[in-house]
Formats: sequence, structure tokens, C-alpha cells
Amino acid sequence: MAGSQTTTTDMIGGQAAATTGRLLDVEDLHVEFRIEGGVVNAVNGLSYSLDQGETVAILGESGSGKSVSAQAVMGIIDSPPGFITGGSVKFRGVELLDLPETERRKVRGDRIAMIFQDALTALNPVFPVGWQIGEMFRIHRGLSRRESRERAIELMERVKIPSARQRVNSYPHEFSGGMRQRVMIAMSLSLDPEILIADEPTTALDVTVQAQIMQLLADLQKDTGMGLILITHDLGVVAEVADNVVVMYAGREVEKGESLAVYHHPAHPYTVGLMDSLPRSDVHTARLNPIKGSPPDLMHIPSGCPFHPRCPYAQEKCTVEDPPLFEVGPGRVSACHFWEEVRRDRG
Amino acid sequence: MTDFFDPHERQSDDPDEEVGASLPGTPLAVEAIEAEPAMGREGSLYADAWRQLRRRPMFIISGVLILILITMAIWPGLFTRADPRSCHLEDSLLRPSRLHLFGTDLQGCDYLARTIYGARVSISIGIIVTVTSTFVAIVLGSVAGYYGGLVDSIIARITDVWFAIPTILGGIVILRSLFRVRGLLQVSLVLIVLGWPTMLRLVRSAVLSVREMDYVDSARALGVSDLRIIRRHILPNSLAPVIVYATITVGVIISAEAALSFLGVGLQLPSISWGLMISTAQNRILTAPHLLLFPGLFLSTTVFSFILMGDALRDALDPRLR
Amino acid sequence: MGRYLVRRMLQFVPVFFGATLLIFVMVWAIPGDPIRALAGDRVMAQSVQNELRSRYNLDDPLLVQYGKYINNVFHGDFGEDFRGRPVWDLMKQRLPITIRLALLAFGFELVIGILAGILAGVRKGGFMDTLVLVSTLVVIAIPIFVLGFLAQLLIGVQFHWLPVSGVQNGLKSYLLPAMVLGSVSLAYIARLTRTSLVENLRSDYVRTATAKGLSRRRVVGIHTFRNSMIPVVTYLAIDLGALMGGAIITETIFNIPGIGRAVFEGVQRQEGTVVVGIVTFLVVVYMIANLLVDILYAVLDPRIRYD
Repeated sequence: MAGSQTTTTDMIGGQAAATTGRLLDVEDLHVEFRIEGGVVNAVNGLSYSLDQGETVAILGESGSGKSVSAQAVMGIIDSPPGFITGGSVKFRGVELLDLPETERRKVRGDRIAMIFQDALTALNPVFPVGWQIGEMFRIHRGLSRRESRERAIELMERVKIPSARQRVNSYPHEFSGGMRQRVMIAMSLSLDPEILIADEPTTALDVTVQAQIMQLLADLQKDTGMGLILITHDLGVVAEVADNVVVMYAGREVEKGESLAVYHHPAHPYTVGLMDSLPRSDVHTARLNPIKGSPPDLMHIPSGCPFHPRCPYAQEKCTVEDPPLFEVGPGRVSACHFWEEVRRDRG
Repeated sequence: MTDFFDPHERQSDDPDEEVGASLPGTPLAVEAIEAEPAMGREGSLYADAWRQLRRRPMFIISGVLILILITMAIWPGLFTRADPRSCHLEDSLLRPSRLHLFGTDLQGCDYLARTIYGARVSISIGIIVTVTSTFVAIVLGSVAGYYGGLVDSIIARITDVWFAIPTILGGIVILRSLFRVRGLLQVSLVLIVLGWPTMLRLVRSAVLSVREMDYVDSARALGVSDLRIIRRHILPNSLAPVIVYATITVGVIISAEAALSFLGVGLQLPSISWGLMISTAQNRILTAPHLLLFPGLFLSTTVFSFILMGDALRDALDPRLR
Repeated sequence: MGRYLVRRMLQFVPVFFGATLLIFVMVWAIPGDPIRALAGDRVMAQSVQNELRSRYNLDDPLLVQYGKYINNVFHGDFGEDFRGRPVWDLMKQRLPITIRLALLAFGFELVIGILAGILAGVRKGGFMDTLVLVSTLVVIAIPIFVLGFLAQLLIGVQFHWLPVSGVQNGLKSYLLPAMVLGSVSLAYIARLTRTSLVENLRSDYVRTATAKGLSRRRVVGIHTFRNSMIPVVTYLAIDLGALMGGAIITETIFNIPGIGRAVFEGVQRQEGTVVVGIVTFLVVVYMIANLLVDILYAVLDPRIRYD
């Protein structure tokens, strides 16, 4: 953005008027970590997009690169040892990866926000929650302490924390798990971001609380029209909440499309494996069906299709040719040479 | 004696704070790496640690130094042919020369010999005190940590009382009032008495964190006796910080003995102690600096090598703390 | 917070009596004649010995002795030297000097220690980090009296930068001894700050703070700083004990007429009662300081308040 007179946020705002729609465009993202033993290829060519009001779920196991990719979008990867080695991340058409850090920081938290899995460790234990929420207003908007405190209370009420006014000076450890997560959500939404990235927001919570939090997120999204990127390993949540899903394996997407369609008619052996490995309450089986084998060593990703060592459909071709994204249907892709077979077998 | 290892431990009895070793690097690297199958990180902690240690210069340097010093302590004759006690007054306060490499002291004794023989006392005290206090600390600490409750509270209160008395102060009082004659045994005894609470704190907190582990619960569920659980599960897994701290303690004790001897409440003549030598040197630092420099150098190097070794061990055994 | 305070105070009481009893027992309740032991090689007429026996209540049962002893302490009576001069007078005279020395040392070790620790921790593995790690290790390893003499030799005698003896030169006289006194603690503080900072920088809340769009300066300077200081503050309590021991050595080497030197002189001159009296006083001070630091710790770390 050299030579432009307007600031980035101006540009983004201006573009917003022109194209209300596409919020985020991630294209061919590559992230690697250079450590003592070698290079860990955490993200290998991930692409997806997010529109206003849309919920995209990024589904995968640990080590699939889902969290790392989100952190790359936010720009909070510790570098070293992490490096973004390729691809583009466009927020409302503006290339974030080219922005200088000072500009990037203005976007972070203000336009794109992120919440994390364990609210207890994600919140600073020695500052009251009101202070932490209010910080957003003090730093990004220059409000006074009193004003930001008032706004913090407003936000806490918005996320349905009871007795917000009394609890604004409490510390994180004084809240229950679900309440703490609401505090984090409040903090992230304080400046009305256009995108919220939620990295496994409910994994650490009880099932009933999980449902409440997901409902809260859905309601807030409806109010604000923000885009939601939901990172999870929970298929059930995906089916319930997400518009579109990106299934990740070994750092890239292996299947992408409308979540219900993918859920009911998967077109990739890995997705099938994930579905089948879920314990089901309606069918009695003697054994569970895990996907055989284990996730790949990201320092030595198998040649060809990374899933081939564990794939029941694997053939000679899969060990040498990295499958491209085949179009399975409108808005649906699958990175499997034999996706038609998979589809057929699943009906 | 300051708690080098983890001073803020005394406030936190919370075992959860100890839990969770993470690999070196950022949380992101950890997540990315988690996907790998165990890449040579299998095998016991100690085997792994040994492999790492062998390559580290810190370990090698301090290891070599310590070996030399221990050799010096056991066979001082290997390093000098002179007799530290054969002193000729007419040779008093000679500068270093070919005849007397380190010069001579006030009595005319060969200083090189005295310095070399000084290692014996220092290393002996260091090791005796550390081994004994560690042993006592392990016994009491594992009992206190494992059983908790009243036993733990009582032991905790007792150690609190001990902690209220700073080492040097306590050392001065005890040594002065209790012992007219102060040899190796007496000084060691006092240092043990003053030192075991710190080690005990450490053992206790290590035991506390291990006790919460699931494998202890399963052993108990299987009906394994308490003593056995302590011996076979708790101790081996809580030993890592103890080993590190014990190594550092050797250095600290050597330093403490020297300080006490320097002040005149530690070892007495005819014992040969670096602290004592420095004490007699203090009035002559300008005229005969060699009296101060050589024991000072040896003392510093000795303490340094033990502390360095402790640091190296800690880096290898507890990656969290890098 | 109130509950925590009450609990700490309650813990303080048995420790206070326990520690003073311990000292008391070790001095006055040993087998043999305590007066003889305290007097060392001094020759004393029997009448003098008898007087001292009654003065220190040696014919009373142990607990009564101790009771009277503690009572005396509360009234500022820490015994007398063998010429009848109250130890308290000696302390009153010497204490201000030691306080000046200690405060200077404290300030020095805190400021430089924390600074060094932050510089080392923020760029872990960098040049500053290695420098700090190595130099602190060296300082810790060299016993304080060796360090003191070296400092005297080099800085005082060789280069004539600072005075090395006595307190005639006003503030300047205290500089070198304070630096030597604070050196070991400085090393520990720097290391502790560094470790604490490094650990905190890896915390989740740092990630959150960065994700909030806060500047690195703010994340390190405000968010991690408070958390990192917690272990350092706890260390400071123990540090006072080390400073006391160190003061004895430093004052001796640099000829500062403070309380530390008084202890040393007491040892040298076989004035057992003086030694015991001063040590008792110092131990009480140490305990109170620890209590205060515990309270400070609760202020810094809200998680502790509700234990």
C-alpha cells in the first residue's frame, strides 16, 4: 500500500460500501515453523473465503493446521519460529500480509477479532475483567477510563453476564467457565469487528454450556452481520451451526462446501473416516471405528496425497500425485482422486 | 541460603502450577509439533537427558572441573609434592616463584600445597552436607507431600520456623555458642541443620505435583501399599528438581562454609580451609595479594562449577524452565 | 483479602515464638555453662559469673527463662555486653548506618536486576540474554567476601574511583559496599525476572493481548510485567535475610560501622551476649519483613486473596 494517502481502515471502510459481501479471501496459504529438528509444514496451501453474515467452520484434528491458519490471518504467529511462506490473505480486498505491522495492528482486534479455547488462561489473571474489556476502548478508540468501564458493563450485559455492574471489577478466576468465555466474547466484540474467529470456543466447556455459548454466538452474529470463522474438531457443532465447512488435513483443505451437504454426502475418505469414527447413540456397535494409522509428521509429510497411508481407497496414483481440488458440485470441492467412488459408496 | 531454584514456591502450595511440561518454543509450535509421532522423545527422562547433556558445553566444562576438584580432594598429592604443614618461618610471605608456585603464607607454608589441600575440606563438607540434608528432606518431604493433612501442617510449621532464621545469622549463633572446637563434623552438622528445610520444601512440592498424577491413583486403586507407591512412583518422578537443586546446593554449602570460616565461626586452625585462608589474608591484601587471590580463585571456580552443573542439569531435565 | 491477612497473622505468631525459642534454646539451654560459653576465653571472677547468672535468670526453669527473655525483647532489652553496656544502645548507634547501606544495596539490586532481567528475557537467546546469564552466574559463584576484596583492590586501590573504608566520605563511602552487598541478590533478581518474563511471554493471555491489537510494548510492559514481578517480590523477602548475612561480611571488609560489623566484632571479642542480642533483633525484623512481603504479594496477585 505504498504511496497511498488514506489509511488502511479508511480503505477497508470505503470498500465496504462498494462490496458488502466478501470479507475474507484466503488463498494458497503456507505457514512453516523452523525448529531445531527441521521444518514443520503447518499449513500447506489452504484456501477459503468468508462472506458477511456467513459462518465457516474449519474442521480438523489437532495438528491439521487449523489454529495456525487462523493465527496467520490474525497475524499473531511468533516469528521466529513461524513464517508465512506463501499465499495471500485479503480482508475486504486489502492484502493483510503486505501491511506493515503498525497498520496490521489497527485491523487486529478492531476489525478482525479472535477468541480462544481456554478462557481461564487466555485472560490475564491479575487484571479485572472490566479493565481488560475496557482496554479495547482505551487503546483503539481513546476513550477515558470511566467511559470504557461503562462500555464494558454494556458489553457484559449484552453477552448475558448477570449482575454485570457488580462483577465488572472481578477477576477471571472468580467466574465459572461459561461466564469466562462470555467475557472473552464480550471483549472480542467490543469494537464491532467484521470477522470473529473462534478457536475451539466450547471445547473446554460442559455440554450444556457449550450449547448456550454457541447460541450466544449465533444471536450476536445475527445482530451484527459479522462473519464467523469457527475452528473446531466437533462434527456435530459443524452440522448445526456452520454454513460452509473446510475440512483440513495435514495443513490443507481436503474437502470444502456447504456443511450439511458435506455432512450427509461426504466426498473425501478422511471426512468419511471422521463421520464413521463418531460414537453413535442410535446404532449399537461392538467397537468404535477410528481412522487407522495416525496423523502425519508435519516435518515429513507423505508424498502425493498426505492421507494415502491411512486411506482405504488409496492406490498407486495417490502416492505420487498430490490431488488437486476436484469440483464435486456447485460450491463443493474434494481433494481426492477417487471422490466419485467415495460418493457412490456413501450414497 | 537463598532458594536458588524456586523462591516463590513457598507461597504456592498449588500442585497445578507445576503441571504441564511444554516443549521449547511457542504454543503454536507446540500445536504444530504435537501431530508428530514421538520422534526420539520416547525413552525415560533420564536417558533423554543424558543424551542432551553429553553435547552441552556447560555440562562438559563443569563436569571436567568437578572431576578435577574431586581428584584434588581425594589425592592432593597428585597436584603438589609439598607438604602444606611443613612451614618454615624464615620463608614467610614470599611472592610466587619457581620454588613456591603460589608463594608462601605468614607461617612460611607452601601456599600451593595449602590451596590444593583446601579442596579436600570444602568438597567434603559440600558433599556430606548436601547428601545428608537431601536424604532427610526426601524422607520427610515425601511423607509430608504424600500424606498431607496434619503431618504436612506440622512439618510445614517447623520448616517455617527454620526459614525465619537467615543462614549466616543462625550459623554464627549456633557455631559460636555450641562448639568450642569446630572441625569438619561440627560445621557440617550445623550446615545440615540449617539447610534441610529448603531442600524439604522442594521435595515436598515436587511430591505434591506428582501425587496428583493419574498413575498414582491407579496404583492406589490396585491396592499397592503407600510405601511402595512412594518408592516406585513418586520418588523417581519427583527426583529431577531435587537432583538439580542438590547439585547447586553443593556449591552454596561450600560458599557458606567459606563465609563462616572467614567470619571466624567456621573451621579453625589447623584445618585448611579456603575461607580461613582468605580471612587471614584480609589484612595483607596490598602487601601480599597472592594470599587472597589463590584461595579466592579456587573457591570461586569450585562454587562456579557446581552451580554451572546444576544449571546444565536443569536445562536437560526440565525443559519448561529454559 | 481480610481472611488472607488474618491467616497470615495467625501463622506469624507460632513462627515468631518458635524461632525466638530456637535461638534462645541454642544459646541458653545448652549442656554446660552458657555463661562460660558466651564469654569464651574471657577470664571472669566467680562473683561476676553469679551476677550474670541471676541477671539472665539462669536458675529459673527453661520456659520461665524464655518468657522473661521475650518480655525483655518486647521492652527493647537485648542483653548487655560483658562490660554492662546494653546491646540496644549499640544497636541504636549502628543501625542507621546499616539501614543506609541496605537501602542503597536494595535499590541498586532492584533497579539493575529487574532491568537486566527484562532485557535478557525480552530477547531470549540474544546477546544481552547470554551476557546476563553468564555474568550473573559468575557473580553468584564468587563468594561475597572474595568479591568484596576484589572490588576493594581493583576499584578502590588500583583505580581510586571510590573509597573503600569507613564512612567519612558521606554517600560515596556507601556506594562500593552497597554494590558488593547487592551483587549476589542482583544476580538472582535478574535471573528470576528473566525466567518469569520468558514464562509469561509464552502464556495464553499474551496471545490474547496480541490478538486484541495491543502493541508489543504494551503487552510486555503492562500485561506480562505485573505477572512477572510476582515471583520477584516473593524473592525479596528471602533476600532480606541474605542481605543481613551479607551485611556482616561487607561491613567487615569495608570497615563500615554498622550492625553487621557489630556482630563480627562481637564474635571476635568473645562478646556472646552481644551477638545473640543483635541476631535476635535481626531475626524479628526478618520475620516482620516477610509478613509484609506476603501482604504485598496478595496485592499483586488477586488469585491468592481468596485462599
